Amino acid sequence: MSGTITIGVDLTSDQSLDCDVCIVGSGAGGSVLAAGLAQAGLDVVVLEAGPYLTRRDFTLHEEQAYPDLYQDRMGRATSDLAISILQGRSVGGSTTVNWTTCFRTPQRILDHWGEHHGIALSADELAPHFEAVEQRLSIHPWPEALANENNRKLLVGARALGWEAAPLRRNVKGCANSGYCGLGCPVNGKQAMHITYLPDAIVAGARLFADVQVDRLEVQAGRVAVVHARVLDRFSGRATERTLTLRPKVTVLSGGAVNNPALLLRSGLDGGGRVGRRTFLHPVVGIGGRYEQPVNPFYGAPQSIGSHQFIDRGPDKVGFFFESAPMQPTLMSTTSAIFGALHDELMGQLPHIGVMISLHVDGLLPGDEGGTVSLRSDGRIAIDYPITPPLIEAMKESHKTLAQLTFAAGAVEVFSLHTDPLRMTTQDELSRLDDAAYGGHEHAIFSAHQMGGCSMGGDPATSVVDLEHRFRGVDGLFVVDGSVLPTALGVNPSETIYGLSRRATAFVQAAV
Amino acid sequence: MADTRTTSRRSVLKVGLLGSAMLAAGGVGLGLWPGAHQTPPGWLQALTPASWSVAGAVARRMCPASRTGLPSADTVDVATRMDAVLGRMHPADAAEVHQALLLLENALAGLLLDGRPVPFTRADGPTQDAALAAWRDSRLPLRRKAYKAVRNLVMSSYWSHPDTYAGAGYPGPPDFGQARAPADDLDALVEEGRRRMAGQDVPEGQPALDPVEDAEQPG
Repeated sequence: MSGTITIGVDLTSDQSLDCDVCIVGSGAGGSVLAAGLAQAGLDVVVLEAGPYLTRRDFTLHEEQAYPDLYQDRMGRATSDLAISILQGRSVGGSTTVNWTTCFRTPQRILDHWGEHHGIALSADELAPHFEAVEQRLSIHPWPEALANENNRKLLVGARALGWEAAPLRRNVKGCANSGYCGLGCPVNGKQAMHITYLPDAIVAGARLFADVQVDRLEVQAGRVAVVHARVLDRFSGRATERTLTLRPKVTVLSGGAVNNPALLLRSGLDGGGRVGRRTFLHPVVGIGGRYEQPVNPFYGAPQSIGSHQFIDRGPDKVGFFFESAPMQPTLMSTTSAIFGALHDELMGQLPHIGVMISLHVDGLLPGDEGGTVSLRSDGRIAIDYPITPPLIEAMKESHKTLAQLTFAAGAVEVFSLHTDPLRMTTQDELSRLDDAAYGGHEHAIFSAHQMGGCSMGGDPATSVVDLEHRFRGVDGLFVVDGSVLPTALGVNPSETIYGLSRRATAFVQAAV
Repeated sequence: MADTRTTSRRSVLKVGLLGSAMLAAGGVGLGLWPGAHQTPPGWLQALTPASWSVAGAVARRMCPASRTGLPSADTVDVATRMDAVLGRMHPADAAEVHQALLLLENALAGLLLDGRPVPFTRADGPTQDAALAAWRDSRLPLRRKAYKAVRNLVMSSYWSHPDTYAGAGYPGPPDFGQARAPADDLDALVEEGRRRMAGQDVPEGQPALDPVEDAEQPG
């Protein structure tokens, strides 16, 4: 018996539903879980605040994609606006707009979790889960020959310097190499959740509701008894009068590292003050290069080459890793602070510009607690993220090494994304980066990976969920997605979330 | 940049030392000096005619169409596009942008913070540029934050307009025919899932829909 997809506009009356499992969120965590539970015969309801949009809706124009497919119309950011946060908001969550890069959880991260967070999780235990999702999502290395010029620069530069660099694995099948992963795949080449695990779940009987946002969880006698949701107007994203009320046996939060803590806090569940803490962002800085020959950074698979040359910089330093970023005009225009004719000049060079990025691995150093997610008095979500001295040191090193890499790749000009950009045409000028300022509002900082906020751990005094994803202190409540990660990963997080979610399926099933 | 930051620090002192004197000497009247506001083309969702006019003035300086092939900010109607996006944001977020634009406009705030005793919309171009740079480089976190919020909205409203693509050397997205794809995406997906569930053959390495071979990049 096939399930259903219901969009908000079709919910014309208030509804009350019973089900075995209510999953809040349809991204990497919720979708894999929904498929597994539905295939196990459970009655599963998935609630997604974002709209149900498919390739027919993806115009590939940024003016449509960013407001429709990203949180806060692409305006999500830390409270001080120092870090812009790219996070998906539609059926499929961030998998609909991510750049497809997939890694298994690194061994050094599993070791760190074991040593510092009481998480006994081995690569062997995770392997069958990774193998299953790799098969379902067609995760495989992208041929080096198909790397676009922007990624090729990273490879060429790294090889010239003798630095490690390698092709990335991508979850694609029939990829047209268009370069529009971030705007919604037009050919269903990207194996995002809305064309893979969600249909699997629906075929197995799951019911998906789009445009439905959960306001709060109602706890009675120590367990989640009622899930209170409201139907949103698809265009404005604002709540209508219509409600959806669920009485599930088990509730699972899969809304991501920002929205899960917010929902828990709205529900009065602060996990002893730990909900919303240990929020990690893989803070990203970038360096631009201008090349004589066209790069066309707007076309071709956005990420196909990566370098982990500086992932481990010693026990007292923040490690970082390099990838490339696609540059369609709007994204390019938001990477700097300049304006006027100077900015017009930069934009006019777009076809000749390549941008490499450095992602910083937060949460591994002693005392690095990352940021926090909290609620403002008017109900809005506040994300606060301190940019600490170790992170500033790493950002400086990122700038210097990325600039070195960009010159090695053949750039005729290298420029930083500082408020007052440093423009360098010879390697002799790299020392100018030593004197520049680093940190919030000194240069562009982005986040494409949001992790933590509902930290997993073995110690009830320091974690929000246990090793089987159970929310501590409330029965029948699980958290299954990137929000359980106790640290950042040092790799793109999607596959870790897929794998953990598949592993969590048995735990949730057993609780019904 | 160092100069404007120095100015900002001095400006903060001005607020402390001179603020009350300014108010006593008629600063309130300066704060109420109306700007040179225009009439929006239609109903606004989040901005008012005043803040919409300031947004338009900011856009004209930030996106001056200084290169051949770029449309003017007015042609693209950046301010109205900003309003459309703000209308889909949280009302409190939109209200903050509205307030930031009005603060930028305010002549008294301009005088106290930047030595600019005229509304933003009445200032000449170089003065407006200096005001924007002063906000960007200010030591006051609130002003830096307001600058970034307004700048991002202006830039994204301008550069996301297809008429600006050519000026950026961007050919635009290829047409994969996705808009004309049959309306049975889900049916096909459900069917694939049904076969998968039934243990029937779903060839590995084949896409669920519309096979497209891994191809060289377009363009």
